[in-house]
Amino acid sequence: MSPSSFFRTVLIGAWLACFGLRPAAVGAQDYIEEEALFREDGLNGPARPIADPLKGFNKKIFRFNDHVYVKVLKPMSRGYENVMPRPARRGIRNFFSNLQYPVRLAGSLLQFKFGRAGRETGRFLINTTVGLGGFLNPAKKIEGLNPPAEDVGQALGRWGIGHGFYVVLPLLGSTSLRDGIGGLGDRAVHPLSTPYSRVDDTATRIGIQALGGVNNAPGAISVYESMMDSAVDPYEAFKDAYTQTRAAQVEQ
Amino acid sequence: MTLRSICFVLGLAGGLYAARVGSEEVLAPEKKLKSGVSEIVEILFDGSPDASIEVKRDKIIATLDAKLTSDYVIRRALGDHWTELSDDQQKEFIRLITGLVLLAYTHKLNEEYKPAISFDAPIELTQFTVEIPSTMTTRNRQVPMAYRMARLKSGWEVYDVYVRGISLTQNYRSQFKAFFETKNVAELISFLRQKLSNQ
Repeated sequence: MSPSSFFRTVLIGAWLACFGLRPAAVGAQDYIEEEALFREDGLNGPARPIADPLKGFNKKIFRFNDHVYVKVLKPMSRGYENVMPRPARRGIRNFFSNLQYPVRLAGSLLQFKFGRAGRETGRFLINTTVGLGGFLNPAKKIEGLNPPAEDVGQALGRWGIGHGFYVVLPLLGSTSLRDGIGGLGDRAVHPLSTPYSRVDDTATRIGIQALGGVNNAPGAISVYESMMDSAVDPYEAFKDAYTQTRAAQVEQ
Repeated sequence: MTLRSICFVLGLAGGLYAARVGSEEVLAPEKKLKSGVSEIVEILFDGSPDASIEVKRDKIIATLDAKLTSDYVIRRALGDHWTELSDDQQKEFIRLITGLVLLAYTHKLNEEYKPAISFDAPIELTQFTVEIPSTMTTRNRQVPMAYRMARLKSGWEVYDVYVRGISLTQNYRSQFKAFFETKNVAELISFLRQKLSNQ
């Protein structure tokens, strides 16, 4: 082969390679096989099972809670909806969300998310001042001042601590050993929770907390009923929703 | 009906339908998804006087029936048990689950405002799978959703829907798994029929 024909051959070869006309590319599969979607191959992320050694007990509490939610809380929340206008309910929801600031701050700091802690503080300051004590939420419209909620349980999860096992608490519903312990940390910094409550009078404190619970009830009951109605196994549906939600929050 | 409820309906019905819209065409996944979801939203929030909740449900199920040839979200949730069903049972199973979700989540539909839905750019998960993040907004409340789509031989198909980080496939899979610990597929279909007729 002469030097000129060799050079020409190299050029043609390079051109074919650059434009993908290699024989190997012809007929290459450009889709995934259907069967691959049905394998536990990571397409959906790893399963996140949670130990449930108290299942029998948990199911009893689950049924008890269902009874209370449907027979007591639902009628109560309907009555509340009738007397409390929607803007007032939104204001009360904002107020209680603003009160959660120390919990979110502690959760952020324990995960060393200092930027998020700063944004939380910015949101709290704006909503407490411009937002009239937290009843309005002007920070919502400010870019960067709406970080996802954090708590101590999430921080424990971030540190690599597993759930332990699943627990259904009377009235409060789904939690786990880890998140239950985290909840004690949340209580320690929450301004309305004992033992470090900023409201000394027990009756007043319980009254304020009850208002927060009842105010959230209409939305929560609606979601609860829809989940129950669409479930094949309601207990498993709630357990899985809880573990998926917490896993997503920890990963955030 | 809460915003989360709308998400659930759109997640299952809208997402599944989206997978079939224009399946003969080579559409980008996000284009297919937007088209399907917006059609379901139009049905859900049809304000005409004769559009009762029952009519809307029937319309969505009829639309799904007409366009749907397979349903990967539900099939993946059922897992290996899917192959234990005959063709007719598979079709019935999909209709039952879809009907159950629609019934459960549309009972207060008239109280809700029509949501605004935005889609972000697809995120490539693997060579042939993408995730399309979406946000549903109504009355200043936002719910994050995500549709996972795979490029199959037939085109782009939705294979999972996430509502606030909860995978519908995984949630139903865990329920079916618990059910099959003591019962079989035929009993599941019979259970679904019974539950649907009671609602």
